[in-house]
Amino acid sequence: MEADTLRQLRGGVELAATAVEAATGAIAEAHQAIARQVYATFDYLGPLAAPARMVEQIQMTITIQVYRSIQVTSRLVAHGAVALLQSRERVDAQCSAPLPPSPRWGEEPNSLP
Amino acid sequence: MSDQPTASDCATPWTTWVRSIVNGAVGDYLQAQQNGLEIDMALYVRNRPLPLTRAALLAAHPHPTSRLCVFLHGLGCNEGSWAYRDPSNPGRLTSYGAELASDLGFIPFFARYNTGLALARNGQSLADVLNALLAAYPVPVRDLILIGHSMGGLVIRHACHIGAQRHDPWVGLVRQAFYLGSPHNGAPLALLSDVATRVLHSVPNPITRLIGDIFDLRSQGIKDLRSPPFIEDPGHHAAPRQTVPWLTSAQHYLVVATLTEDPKHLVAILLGDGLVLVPSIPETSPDGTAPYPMTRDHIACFSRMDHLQLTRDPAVYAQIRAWCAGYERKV
Repeated sequence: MEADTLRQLRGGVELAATAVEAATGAIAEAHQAIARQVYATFDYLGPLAAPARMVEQIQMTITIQVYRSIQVTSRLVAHGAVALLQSRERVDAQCSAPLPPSPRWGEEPNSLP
Repeated sequence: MSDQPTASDCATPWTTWVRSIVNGAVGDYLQAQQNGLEIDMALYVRNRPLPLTRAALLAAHPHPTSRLCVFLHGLGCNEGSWAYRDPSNPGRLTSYGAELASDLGFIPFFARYNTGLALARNGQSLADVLNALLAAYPVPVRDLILIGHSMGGLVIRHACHIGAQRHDPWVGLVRQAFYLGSPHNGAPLALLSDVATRVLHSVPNPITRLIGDIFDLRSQGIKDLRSPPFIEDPGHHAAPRQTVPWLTSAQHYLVVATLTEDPKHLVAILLGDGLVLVPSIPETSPDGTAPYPMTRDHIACFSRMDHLQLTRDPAVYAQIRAWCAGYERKV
């Protein structure tokens, strides 16, 4: 594969991972904001306010962890893919490097005349 | 390589289109991150950048003439947008460049660039590329024509302004500039997306704010299409912004289109070619500082045509050819 194509593939993987990360972060924020609005109504219900806050805390923790795990998984996959592409780039670069000139007959110090 | 430029010189595969679209959407981010997907401004032949050396230019065009034409595509596009099926021979691809080469002896060059970057930045890159092209071109250049589609036309205006300020040698050779569906007054769709973003952000709702954030992700290149092209002057924020002046030494031509048959139809007035509106041109012939430094005979309006078709329509080519031939007759 050409070096330029590999570089573009690497860029595509990194861009996809960044997009997933940003999208997940934004959706998580919106999700939390909406959930907070629902739980806020319980604040007006006196005795239900304290247990509702506890449930809210639990739900928020789970929600954050789910979104974070998506982000971490996508970043790990991207790192793996980028590492693979980089190793492929290195192999390709070594293969395309010119070979050292082979010693000609009579040039080596202990060769026969 | 063949002697005669062909449309296959500018045909591009789908992977190139994906890359061009991504560059149009978030090209400024890709450039800032040095992501690898960003496109550097260059002239392309057969999907490869053309090195601006005498040998490479001779290999691409073995019989160079003293007349050059340079094509600039629009937002999210690449040089492939200039290729279309020849109506007289549907099995064959052609382009305005290939036709100009066979009809008038112009050597065509197709630029590809990162349409997500600011217009001024692309204008500077184009000016640099034209400098390098002229320096390496194997024969002295007598005529240079520039043809830009949509955003490409605005990039040409920026390049001419920057080139004129730097006294670049190519600027004096530009005899004609053609703007195909270029939003010289700003594109309403870009303005609408800007307004939509502000409205969505102002609504105190997490969902609308999220949608607003997505709208706001667009590149600087898209944001620059909201208004007329302005001179970039970072030192004087307080001063009123000046529009990029038209190159006074060249003739300018405007090609516009309307979706409907009747250019005065409400749909044509509101939507133009779908992306760019038909500008209202003053009756009198203005000087170089006016919004449009051209008379009505330098403006062509094609009906029942959309924005993208402007790069690939035999009728548009016939008009460009007629203007080129008319210029030569006058000179």
